[in-house]
Amino acid sequence: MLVMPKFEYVAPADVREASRLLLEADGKGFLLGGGTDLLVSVKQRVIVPSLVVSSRRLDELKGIRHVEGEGLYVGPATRLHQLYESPVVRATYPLIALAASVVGGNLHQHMGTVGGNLCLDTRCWYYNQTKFWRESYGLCFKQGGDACYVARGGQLCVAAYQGDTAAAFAAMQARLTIAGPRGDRQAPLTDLYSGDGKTPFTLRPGEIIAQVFVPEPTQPWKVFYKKYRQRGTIDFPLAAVAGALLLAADGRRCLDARVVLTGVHTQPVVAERAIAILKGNELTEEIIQEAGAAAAKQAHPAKTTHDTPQHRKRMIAVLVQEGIREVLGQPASPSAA
Amino acid sequence: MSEFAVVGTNARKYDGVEKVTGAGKYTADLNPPGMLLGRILRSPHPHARIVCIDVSRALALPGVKVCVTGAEYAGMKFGVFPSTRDQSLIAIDKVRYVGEEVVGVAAFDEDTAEEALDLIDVEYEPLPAVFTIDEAMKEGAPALHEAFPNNVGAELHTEYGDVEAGFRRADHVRQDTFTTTALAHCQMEPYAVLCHYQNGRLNVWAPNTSVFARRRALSNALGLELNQVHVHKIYTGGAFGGRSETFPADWIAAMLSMKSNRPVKIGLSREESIMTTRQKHEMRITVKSGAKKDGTLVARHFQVWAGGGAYMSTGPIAIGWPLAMIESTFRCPNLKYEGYRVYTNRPICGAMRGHGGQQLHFADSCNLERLAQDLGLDAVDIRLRNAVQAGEVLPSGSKITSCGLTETLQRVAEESGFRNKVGRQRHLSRGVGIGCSSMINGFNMGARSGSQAYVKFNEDGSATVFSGINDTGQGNETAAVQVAAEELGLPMEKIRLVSSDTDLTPQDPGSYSMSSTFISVNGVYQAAADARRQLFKLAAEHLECNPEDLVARNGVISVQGSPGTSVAIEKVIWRAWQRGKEIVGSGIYMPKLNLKRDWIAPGMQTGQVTGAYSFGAVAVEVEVNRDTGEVTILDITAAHDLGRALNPKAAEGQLEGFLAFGIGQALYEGLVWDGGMNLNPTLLDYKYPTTQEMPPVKSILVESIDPEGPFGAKEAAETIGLAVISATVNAVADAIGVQFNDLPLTPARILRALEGKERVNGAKTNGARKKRNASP
Repeated sequence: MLVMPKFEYVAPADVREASRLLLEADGKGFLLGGGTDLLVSVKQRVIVPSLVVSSRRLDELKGIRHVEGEGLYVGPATRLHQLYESPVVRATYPLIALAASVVGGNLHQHMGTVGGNLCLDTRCWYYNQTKFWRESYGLCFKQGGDACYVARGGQLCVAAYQGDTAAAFAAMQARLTIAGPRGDRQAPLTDLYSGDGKTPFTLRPGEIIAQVFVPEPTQPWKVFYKKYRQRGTIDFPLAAVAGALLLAADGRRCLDARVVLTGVHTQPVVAERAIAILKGNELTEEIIQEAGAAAAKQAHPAKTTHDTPQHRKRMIAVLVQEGIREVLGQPASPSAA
Repeated sequence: MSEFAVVGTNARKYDGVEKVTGAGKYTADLNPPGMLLGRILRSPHPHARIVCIDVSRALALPGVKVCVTGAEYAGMKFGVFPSTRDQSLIAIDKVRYVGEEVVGVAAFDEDTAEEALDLIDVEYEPLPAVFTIDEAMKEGAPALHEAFPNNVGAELHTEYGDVEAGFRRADHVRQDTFTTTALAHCQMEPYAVLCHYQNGRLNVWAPNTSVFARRRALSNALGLELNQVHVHKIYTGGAFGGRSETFPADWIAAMLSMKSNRPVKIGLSREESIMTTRQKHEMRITVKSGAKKDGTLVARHFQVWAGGGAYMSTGPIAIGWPLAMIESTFRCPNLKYEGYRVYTNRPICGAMRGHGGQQLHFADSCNLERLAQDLGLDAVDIRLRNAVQAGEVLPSGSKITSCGLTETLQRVAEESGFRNKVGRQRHLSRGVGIGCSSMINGFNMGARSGSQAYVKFNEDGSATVFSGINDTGQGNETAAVQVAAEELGLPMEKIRLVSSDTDLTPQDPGSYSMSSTFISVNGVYQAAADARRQLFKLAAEHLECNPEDLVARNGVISVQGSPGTSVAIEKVIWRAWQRGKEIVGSGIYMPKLNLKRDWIAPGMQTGQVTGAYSFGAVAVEVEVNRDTGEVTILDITAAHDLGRALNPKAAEGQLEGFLAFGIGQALYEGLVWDGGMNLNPTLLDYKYPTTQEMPPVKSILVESIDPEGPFGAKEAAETIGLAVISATVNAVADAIGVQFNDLPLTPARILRALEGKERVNGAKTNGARKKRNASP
């Protein structure tokens, strides 16, 4: 079995204290949520922490609170299953419940936290390997080496961001409260992601997500979360789409749209071109096809896993189209009887 | 009332409670006092010369007790066969794949042992490497082993009948080439081994499929007498062929224990388990079949290239076994078979479910399917026409004793509605496919081909059975206990089984040749029958009747037809012992084999290869999503001829388990490579199917009552795990009109094929598909 390296473990009861400890660990400190991502990486020595700060006793980071007419406050240490088991999330923020319900497998959903899923490290099969494997093959950019083995000759790390809930939260225009050594700051969720596969998050040293806020939808948005993975459980998304459509009274014209992709880039991608095509238009089969194709153009998967980038890109188009058809009450495929 | 009291019932698994409550111990659970933890430094290179190894800094680390290197064991080599000893116990001058063992370290804790690995200095001189079959066989390619300059480490050339003449008589000849990828077994238990060398004896605990094979290999490798090696009974968390051999971790743990005089345990990571125990051979297979207009096969020619990795392992079996399977499924008098087992600088390939048969069956059955389509014949009919029958002598001279192949085919065809569905659901992108296969039940292992057992009694009338039978989760122990209980006339609770321990139990071939039911349970049956004879003789004296008139059930021996005239078994035992008479049952079952038959030796592929053949057929219905390329298996109907169902529920469990294996190979699984590096050595990235991918399964147990099997029983399930692969590929062909030649059928591959960009029908097509595929 893989041996866990030695590190110091603390479980403070105060967010400020946690922040201070992480800052002092000077880049070697890591916040532990459910451990479904971090502990695997630590055992593989992808990450070698000097300090692990557990969120176990950080009660202020836990729980779900809905304020009528305002929105949903989600503590980042909330377990993923609590999202889809919450009646209010299911009723008022169904997109978030949908995405949380297909993260990994059931055990991941019960251990994994919202904050951990939002801060899921970017993944690549040249990176998520044991120390022996990586040292045998050679170190890539993300490990401090000087090459990318996926995009040969490339200058940037293309490891994929494969979190599910980020796309749903982004589509719901979630905002973060980030606690840090110099107090709290607010930021849209999409600002959390840097776009660089090597250092995918914009959190500064000592910063911790303190809260995720989702404004209450004032309109009857129709939503879908479509995830493509090889098996019906466990797997990360090879491609996934969170979508929300606001339809006119006729049920055909699209007044507003939000489409966010995940699994196909170094960060979640707001599919602006697809949104532009949908917005204001009658959702004919032609428009649906066009929107799917436009979304696929914004997907930039690399050969970071077993599936081909071409197929994952293509799946984005299929997922967008399936999602829209589902919202419209149509069969998943126009060719289906 | 059933003919039997215990046989044929869904008795609870003998080891079930211990396993589900967590009380059952596996190797990693063992922590004897004074134990050291071992780690292995492995080669980072696929092919390199070792210039020097310096362990002095590691040995200086506090907590490190001992190190071992190959030089200390120079000249000692391992091989499954005496003729294939090609692997040093630890690499000495050369490494041949990434992960090969270079140094073993034992320390007081795992952290220290791990840290010590970083302090070992090894200087390598990298060598050019070959990774694929083609690269390895190319003229002038670097050779892995000096003795095999073309990297072909084993080959087989066999011809039965006259194949050239056969093809001349054929009305139609069809040739296809297929490929399969290397696979991982993914046993739930990662490999672990504990060795304790004490008082001149080596004690070993490790997941295994035969304690006797493990003992033999360790004694050969380490130069110990057989009775100086004690391989203990320990639960094994799945084997699937991948726990059959001894591995370098065993030798290293043994050497570290011999040097330190302490118990040493080495637990491998999942990555090490996948990369450094065994994998399944990747294969390229060309099948040429000639048939008459009515589908009768007249000649077949198989060419098999197996990419086997750095060492020979069970390579000769991997290329030889499929021949035994091919001749025993579809009758063909003229059969030519050529097999090449090729060394490459990748992990070592050995046994894995069907042992080459799974790959060959896929090729065999898909070729036959296409032959049928060329001739305008029904997929079921062509199989029925060529299906072997009981009593038939095969081209090699091996005889089929019992055979339910025709019945399994007819029943799956009927119960799946195959004929009403085939070719009629393409507008829904749905299709059905069928496959069938045979399987041998044990093979020639010389004196180790048979299984022995003893039965002793206790004064309360209960019995203890000693058998070498091995159970890695299949239910073999349960079957043995059921058969012993039936034959002795005792309830199952009155039977205790002591199994799989080289010091305590007699010889057994192991559970890696589909032999456990047919041979090992048979050994238990023979011993129980012997004990029963002794009991009946004494009971007959007591009851003043003939032993032939007696029956035993539920602990009581009575005269048939007059249950009032009876005596308890407990009483028979008491009386015997009081009179100074012992009752000990003993028996052996040795299958009637040609013990000269060899997997690859020229001209030696004749005579009886196995004691019995089992058979099975599978019908699969699929739906293909033309947008995503995903294949959903809607349902499976599987029939297996297992001779007799000793425990129907357990047999169904075996059927479903092996179907999952086959589905994995057909649709999901494959080891992916970058040169010599395996890119997916984890359970996350290696895509074996989960319960989510399992369709509803209708299991049909066909009982052909084998004349030699215990109560007529044969192995359960191995055939259908083979047959489900071609059935799935054929079903996809029926659904979308594309016949695939390469596994697995991933969504990306399906979409590429629908666009005409994938190699199908034996040739890569560009642009539009050939018309022939559109409608058979």
